[in-house]
Amino acid sequence: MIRLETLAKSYGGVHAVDGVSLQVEPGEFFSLLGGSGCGKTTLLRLIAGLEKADSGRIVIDGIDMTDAPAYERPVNTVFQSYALFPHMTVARNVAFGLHQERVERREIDRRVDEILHLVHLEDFSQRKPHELSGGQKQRVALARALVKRPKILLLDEPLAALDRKLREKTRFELKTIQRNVGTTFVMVTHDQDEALSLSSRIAVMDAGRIVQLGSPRDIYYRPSSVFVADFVGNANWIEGTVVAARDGTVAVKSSDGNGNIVVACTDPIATGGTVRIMVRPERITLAPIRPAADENAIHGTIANVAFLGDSSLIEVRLASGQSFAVRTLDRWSVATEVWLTWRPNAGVLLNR
Amino acid sequence: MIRRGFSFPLTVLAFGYSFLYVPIGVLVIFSFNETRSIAVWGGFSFKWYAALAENTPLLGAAWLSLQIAAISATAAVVLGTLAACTIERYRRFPGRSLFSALLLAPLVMPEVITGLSLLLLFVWLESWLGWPDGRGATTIAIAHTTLTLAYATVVIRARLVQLDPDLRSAAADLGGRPFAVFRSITLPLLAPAIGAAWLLGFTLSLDDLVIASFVSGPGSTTLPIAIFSSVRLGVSPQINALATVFLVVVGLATTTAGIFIYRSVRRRNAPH
Repeated sequence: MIRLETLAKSYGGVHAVDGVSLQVEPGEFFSLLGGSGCGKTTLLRLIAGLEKADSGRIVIDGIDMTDAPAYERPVNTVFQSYALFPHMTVARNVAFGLHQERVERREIDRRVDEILHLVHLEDFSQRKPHELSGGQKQRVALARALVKRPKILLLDEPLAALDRKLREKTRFELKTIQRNVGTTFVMVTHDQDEALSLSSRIAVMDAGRIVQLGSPRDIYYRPSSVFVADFVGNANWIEGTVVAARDGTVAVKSSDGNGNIVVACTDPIATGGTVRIMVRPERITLAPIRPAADENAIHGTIANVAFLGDSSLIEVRLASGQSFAVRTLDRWSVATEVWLTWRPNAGVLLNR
Repeated sequence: MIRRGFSFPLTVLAFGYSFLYVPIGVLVIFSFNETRSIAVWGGFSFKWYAALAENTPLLGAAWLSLQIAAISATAAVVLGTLAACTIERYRRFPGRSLFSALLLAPLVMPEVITGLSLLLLFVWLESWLGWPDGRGATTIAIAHTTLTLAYATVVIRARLVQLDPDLRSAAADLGGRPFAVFRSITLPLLAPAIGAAWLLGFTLSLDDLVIASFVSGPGSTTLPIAIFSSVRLGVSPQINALATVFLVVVGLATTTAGIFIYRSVRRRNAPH
């Protein structure tokens, strides 16, 4: 559907997008995830045709669109600021794109009604943008882009301007809409929850490059680098040296006083190498007594408990002086001595 | 303790406002004076309004001034919109800052110099190209356009930089070609500024005596020139009457525009 080939764009010597190649399949919900300044928005604007690429190729639906102006591309964008035309009613905002295509008036009315119905705004068609709430504006922006029936819908931080409750509700709506219309969605976001919950695939970006591309589960449970592991979710780290590797597991002796660690790893790895092991907070179990196994067992004291409603985030101070975050449904109190354990397949072995 | 009936700030305020508005009040009152005197009240009368209605040269000058003001304000607004859009949209082109500085120079240029240089330009053009054929309404309109263009650009550009650049991007993204985007997005959103620039230009042109004196010719007497030269022969209450008519017209126009702007602002800031 979209194929990017070594796409690059720099501003005054700074590489905003630095040789990005990727392919988005039809019907996908694809996310570009990264911190501010990682080049994700520039990449989106390059696809939309709102920026001109320095080098590389953009192929949309089999047609080279690298030099095509924005108004000729079969893509539409939902802007972060929504960019609703303030002097037009909701209906005229939505109809704008169809007017540009010279669609027949009755057909325009029909399609505008249909799309406003889809986003539950049929009663607001005669309002001006300043008369709408944030969530309504967001849906108008979505309707205005979708009414053109684009091959690809681009979304720039579509939920960032909404408050938390609404954001979570809108997240499901967005996914439902995407499933119903079947359009390919490409979303830019800095919010890992948003990317994980909506996407079929995620590209994590850093400094203008894609550092990992995969399914939400891959990205979360099998990060390919320390950067990705840290950026997506909370991570606890153990450093150590590989002492043995066989049958898909690797034994590591920690260099920071956390005992022996066993971690599932199918990649070939040399013994004696320095590695880092990452464990997610929700994969760790707390036990009041020393577990039977000798591996993956660290002793510590609970330093802080943050009750989050649906779970608790617990900070455990280890004997080594490190702090580990643990997420649990159980109730623990501060200063309790505990043992942290986890299964070998809960850990992730990383070289960098 | 506040002393009743008298306070220093209020006195200063009253004095300041009197200084601004008493002369205008006097001018209006004496337009209804029975006698020719501008200092002694001789009873109420409309005779100077009647005389004004008969005064073809003065009315002609007023009509000419209105025409020139409308033409030069319109020209300035068209050119000013183009200039403002060029400066704001094309952020990088050779000579951008020079272009923008040169455009604003007439704001600080003494009018005498602007007037004189334009006169020299017109004389030179006439001797080389045979155009303009002498000086008159056309040369005044051109001169006023150069003056008001600077103001129009400032006003329109101030509004343009406030516009969310994503609006133009969004319009292009939805399939709007550059001209369609300008016509249906940029222009309507600039309309209030364009209106304000037009009114400002219109007023500046209507009011201008110095530049018009340089570039006017025989048979093209604008209202300020007519008033100024008639005052040298002694003030006629007809001038007072004309000034009163202008005050009423301008006052009504400003109030209407004010109400219109207030309403649109209130509508824009309305709670959800």
